Amino acid sequence: MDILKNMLLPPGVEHLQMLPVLVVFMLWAHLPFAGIAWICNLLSLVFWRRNPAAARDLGRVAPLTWSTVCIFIVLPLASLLFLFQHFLFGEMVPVGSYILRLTLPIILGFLLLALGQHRRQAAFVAAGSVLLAGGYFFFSSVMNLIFTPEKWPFIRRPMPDVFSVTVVVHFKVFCLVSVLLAGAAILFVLFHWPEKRLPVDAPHAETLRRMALAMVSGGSLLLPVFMIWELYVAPEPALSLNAFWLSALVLVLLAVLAIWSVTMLGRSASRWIAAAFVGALAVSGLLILKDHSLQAAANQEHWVLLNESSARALAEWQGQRAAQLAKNMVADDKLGEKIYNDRCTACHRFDQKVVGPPYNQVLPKYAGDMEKLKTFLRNPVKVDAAYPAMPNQGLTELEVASVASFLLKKHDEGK
Amino acid sequence: MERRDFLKVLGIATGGVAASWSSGFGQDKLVSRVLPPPEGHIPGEPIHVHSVCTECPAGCGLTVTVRDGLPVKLEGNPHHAVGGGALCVRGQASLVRVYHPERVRRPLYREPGGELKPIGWDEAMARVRTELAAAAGAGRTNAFWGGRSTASLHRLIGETCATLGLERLPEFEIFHHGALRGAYGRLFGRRTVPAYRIDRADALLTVGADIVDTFLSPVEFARQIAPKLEAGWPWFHAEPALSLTGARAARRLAVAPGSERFLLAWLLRTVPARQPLPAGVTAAMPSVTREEAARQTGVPAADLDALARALADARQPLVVAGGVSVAHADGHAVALLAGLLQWSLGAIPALVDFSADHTFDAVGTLADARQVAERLKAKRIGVLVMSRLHGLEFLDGAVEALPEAAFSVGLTDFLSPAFAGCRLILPVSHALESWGDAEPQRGRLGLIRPVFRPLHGTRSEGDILLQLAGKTTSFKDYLFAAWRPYPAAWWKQGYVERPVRAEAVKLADGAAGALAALGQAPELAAPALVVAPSLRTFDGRSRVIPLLHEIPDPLSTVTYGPWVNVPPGLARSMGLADGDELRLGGAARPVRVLPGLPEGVLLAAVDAAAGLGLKADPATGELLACRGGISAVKTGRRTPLPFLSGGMDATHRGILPGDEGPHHHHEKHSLYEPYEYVDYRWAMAVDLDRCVGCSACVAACYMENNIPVAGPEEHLRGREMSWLRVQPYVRGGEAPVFIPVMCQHCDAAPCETVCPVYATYHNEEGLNVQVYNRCVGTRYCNNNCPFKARRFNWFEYDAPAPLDRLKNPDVSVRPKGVMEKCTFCIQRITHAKDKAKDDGRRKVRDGEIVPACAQTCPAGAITFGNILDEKSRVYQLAHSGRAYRLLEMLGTEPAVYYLSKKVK
Amino acid sequence: MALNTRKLIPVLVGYFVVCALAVGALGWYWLEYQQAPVQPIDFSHRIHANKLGLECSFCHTGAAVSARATVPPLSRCMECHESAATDRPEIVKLTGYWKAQQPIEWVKVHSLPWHVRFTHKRHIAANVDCTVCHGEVKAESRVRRVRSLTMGWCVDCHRAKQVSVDCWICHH
Repeated sequence: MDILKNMLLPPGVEHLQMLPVLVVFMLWAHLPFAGIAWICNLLSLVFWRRNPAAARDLGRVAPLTWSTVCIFIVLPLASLLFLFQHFLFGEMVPVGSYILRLTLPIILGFLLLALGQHRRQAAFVAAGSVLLAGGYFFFSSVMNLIFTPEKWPFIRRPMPDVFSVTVVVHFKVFCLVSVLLAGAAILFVLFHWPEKRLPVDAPHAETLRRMALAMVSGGSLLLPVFMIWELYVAPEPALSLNAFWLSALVLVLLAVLAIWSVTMLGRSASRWIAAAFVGALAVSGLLILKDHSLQAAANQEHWVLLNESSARALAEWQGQRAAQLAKNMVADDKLGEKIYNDRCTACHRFDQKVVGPPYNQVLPKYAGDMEKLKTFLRNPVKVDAAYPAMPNQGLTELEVASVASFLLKKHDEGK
Repeated sequence: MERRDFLKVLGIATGGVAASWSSGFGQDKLVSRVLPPPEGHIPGEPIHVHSVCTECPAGCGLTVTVRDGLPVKLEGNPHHAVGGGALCVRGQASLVRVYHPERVRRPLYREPGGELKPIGWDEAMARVRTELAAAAGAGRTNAFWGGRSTASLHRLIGETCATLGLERLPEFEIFHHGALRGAYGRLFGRRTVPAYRIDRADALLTVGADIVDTFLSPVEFARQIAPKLEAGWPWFHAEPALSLTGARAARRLAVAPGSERFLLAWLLRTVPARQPLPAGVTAAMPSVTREEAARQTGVPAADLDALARALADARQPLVVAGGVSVAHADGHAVALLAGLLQWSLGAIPALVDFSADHTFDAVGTLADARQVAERLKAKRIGVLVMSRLHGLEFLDGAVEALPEAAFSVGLTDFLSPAFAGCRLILPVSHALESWGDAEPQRGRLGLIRPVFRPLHGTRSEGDILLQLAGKTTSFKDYLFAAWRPYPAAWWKQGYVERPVRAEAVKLADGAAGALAALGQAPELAAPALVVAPSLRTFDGRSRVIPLLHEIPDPLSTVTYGPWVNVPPGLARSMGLADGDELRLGGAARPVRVLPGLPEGVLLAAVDAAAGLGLKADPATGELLACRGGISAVKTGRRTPLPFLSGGMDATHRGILPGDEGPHHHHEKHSLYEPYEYVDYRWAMAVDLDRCVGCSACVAACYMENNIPVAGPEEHLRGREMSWLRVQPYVRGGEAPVFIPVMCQHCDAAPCETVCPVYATYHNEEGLNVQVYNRCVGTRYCNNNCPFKARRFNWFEYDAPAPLDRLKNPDVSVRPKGVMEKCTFCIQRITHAKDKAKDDGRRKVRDGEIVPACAQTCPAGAITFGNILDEKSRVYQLAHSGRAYRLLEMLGTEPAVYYLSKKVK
Repeated sequence: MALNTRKLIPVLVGYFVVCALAVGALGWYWLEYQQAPVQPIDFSHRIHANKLGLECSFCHTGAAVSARATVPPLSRCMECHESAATDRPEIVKLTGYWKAQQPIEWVKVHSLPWHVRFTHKRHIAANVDCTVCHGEVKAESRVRRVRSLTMGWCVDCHRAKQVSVDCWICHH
């Protein structure tokens, strides 16, 4: 995957600051929608023959249109590809190529789902669901690989190390969150959203409502087990306090969701559906944050060095640019004189000792060497022990050049 | 999918695989040094320091391996004249002494009748000075009484005694060779113990001198005789009881106790003299006929003839008498006649070298010790400063007299019986903690160097004496002053071989008179009790080392004693079985039936003889170690004795050379592919013709491999931990053959196939490897091992501090519940391979890997190497035609080859 | 058919409390045992190895020549800190150790269990970079363990580099 490498510039400082936010945002843009679509389509397969209306309704919970596929699937995956390439810039791990390889089956899977729903072909939906299951299993393994740097030197297969407990647990967490979200989404879309909600007398409404509530309660009850398991098997360098408090927060949300859904199961109509859906989205967001905290902690040293090197690269670049600019700088004597009068005369006279030394004492050593004077002006250091060090004036290149030129001219005149 | 992946999936499917990231941060610390290590020292890498072994009077050269500032292993100094790289069982185990938890750690003082209480050094020194002055004022003699000392310490004791006005009493050693020194004094005017050049002799008669057990310098002797043993030489050993030397000699002559004079006298008359004897001497020699000699000694006349012929035919025959044969009522005659025979056979001065004699000049006899005891009892001794009085308790009535001194000061490392009653104990540093030198034989001077700072608040004997004398110099300075003239190379190699001037030896005029003065030979009625020096504790001084009790006595295989060996005939007639108690004089001891022990003789090691009333011979001052007319009564009680399991009789078992073993009617079939080795197939050759059974290898194995000491209770349950045992086997009436048995690293190892967890497996270099952390302790392997070479850790055998610091860091300490066994010193294989890689070699050179057992073997009986390499020594030995393997009929294809002439 | 699910609520609350306790326990265990330990002196590799660019072997002299990498003797620290940054609190601590000639007891971060024999020398000789096992220590202000140091991980590397995976290589 040299193409990928060659396409990348070293990440810049600002980009690095934004990168974690972007990663989390893109994952959050993608995974909840993908999970809901996947699970709802799987469910619609269950109802396909028995209850075609219910199946159709389930298919429209997460409608796969050109715009949703682009916004929630293609765009996030493509961004993630580059974001992770930048996140792991310089490391010998082919995460970018893995994500690229995963992107294709995942997109294909969603297209199959869309086609199946559109043409009412169960086989397409089934094939798409299977493809997606495989795709997200390997997606889990890639996410795992990122927070297990010790495995990087030993990857020799076209796929990352998939047969490990951590990967399986991670995938199970993804599935459970998807179930939870799908349940909440079914309730939200079919029972709450004014434009899309089911007619009140729809024969399958109660079935779907109960199923959705069961999905929410089942998901929120099983999720803690796998979440704790995931924490238990996580490699120790990947752990940080963030991972634990985020997990605790997820637990609180899950507890509320579980109590809500169980209570609603006992009633004939559901309330607070929108809040529950937001809660489920928050759960998925927090889990993504937690996942990324593992990745960040495991790559802490890499992150430090990456930031340093990009800062260094920036400084180098700025230095080069400054030198380039300075070379072509035309000194402006008017500006020089203005600065001289505004600032320099506060401490210096030409032949008189004030706070700083008199010019006729210090300027001769710069005579004919304007660069030396400029260097001093850019970054003044203490020269004479008898005087305090000159504070940095924070001059721009143009100002430096102008004031230096003015000073030397004045010195020459004074001779 | 690979098997491993399949298992992972299986684990996931069944819902539980334990976390791999489980270990956290323990309390492990990385302690920095304050200052950098000395130039050239790499922390954690071994440092080798040359020194001298001080565990017995032989004074073998030492190489101390120091790791992280602690000595972890002793090996012989290969360049040193004494030992030549080998060490005996005691030398190997003596490192335990330094770390011994019961060492005296600070000066102790007791008010009369009170308990010992710690005091400061300054106070202790002041107290000695006050007491010295007080006793001198009271008209008593102050005295210094020590064990044998040599070189600088010997001089310093003399000087200190002169400064402090102490009388220097004759030095005390139980085995002081008084009879030999007396006889040589009478015959040649040399009251000393000459060096016996056994390496130059081509025929040897040893009379009682147990040269491979304890006599003078056993490691050196074993090293010298080993090649001769392999070649086959006429070596006769006459002894009343049974020793390793007897078992090892080409011909063992079991002489009746006290009858050695007849044998020697007959030889004097029979073997043609090569150096003329004066007529007076010839006339005074007792006249013994062949028949009388045979009758008195109980040796068949044919054997006597063979002996006489061998001595007569040899170019340089040598006779050495000593040990138990001079330690009886007729000992003086035996020593005298042996000296005369040496002269007559022309062994003096070529083979009996008086110029490089053993430095026993200042050592008194037991008669002197008896005199000291008398003087003590008469309350004539004031302050008695004592040091290194080993085995004083075995001499009847000696220790009891010590409290009669006005004030007794003990310089010691342990509160042994001789020192337990002292008023003041000054703790002495071990030789590994202090400077010193030793000159066991004249001209062989070795430097003793400290390898670490004293573990406790102890001081070296030299420093204590200097401080007592009020000197401000340290013993180090004192020593350096003596060593300064020597070249730097001597310092570095740690020893000196100073040339000694050979002086002419003449038969003294008084020789005839001495012969004439010999009375009749006293009768020693059966049963006789022979008290021999102990191979494991010498004169009892090494008793404090637990490891030496753990290692079986090679003859009887008993580990924890005390016990008395009885001959099978006597045992039958008295109805004695192993462990039955026998009352001998004042004490009762359990018995061990010892095949090969002559009838009518009971054998005990000296450390088992306390309380049996050992007396000194008034004529020679020797311990009366061989006494007749013993009353031996069966008490009817039993004390279980721990000894190696398995009968000693190996007839038709496939163990001894030339013995096919029971016929197996199965063809050899294997379900497994034969192994194909690429670079190495490690193998070992053990030369039974050379092995003397000294058990040094066993001790070396313990020290090298962190093998725990299990203790007597565990031994009684058959749970010894040694990876290597020296097992004596007898066939018919022959002398025992010692077979060192370790893991045989079989090609078709029965242990490997039964391990359910693959903890023991065959590696690509032929090693049968035991992976401790994989072992779950089913012990199936142990059950299936026909050689019983495997050991199981029933407990965590934690050693008490500071003994827990004595660990080879290259070898894992096994936890409980884990099987272990000989690894062929895998850590040394690793080390050699490491070195080969460093040097850019692909393979290890032959002889580069020396396992601990082979390293310390005085006889050089063990060879290790790569049997794939046809040039290697082990290949050549295995294909020498002398090789056989244990229990070969079982078809386990062992990698340990035993060599014996009897195979052919 | 309305279920009376209100009775289930206490059970649910209990369940989530137990889960919260489990998360708390894991967090406590991590805080206590698994995160980078506090050292007697807050030595920063980031300053020494990254900012100053010192080689690992400048202080860990044993790595190339012996089984252990070894921590530097105090004298090595004092070569520079006799004069450098002497007023910082951590350097004051260091000077205290030096004045008392007292060794520093660093907490060992990379510990191997009792049954493993590891040698640095062979690995350095085989051109295995320090970072393979220790990670980018130069980016760490406080050293932490970033590799599991489990057998499977060691074996992965041995397999990848086609070195022996015979058990006794490490276990004896």
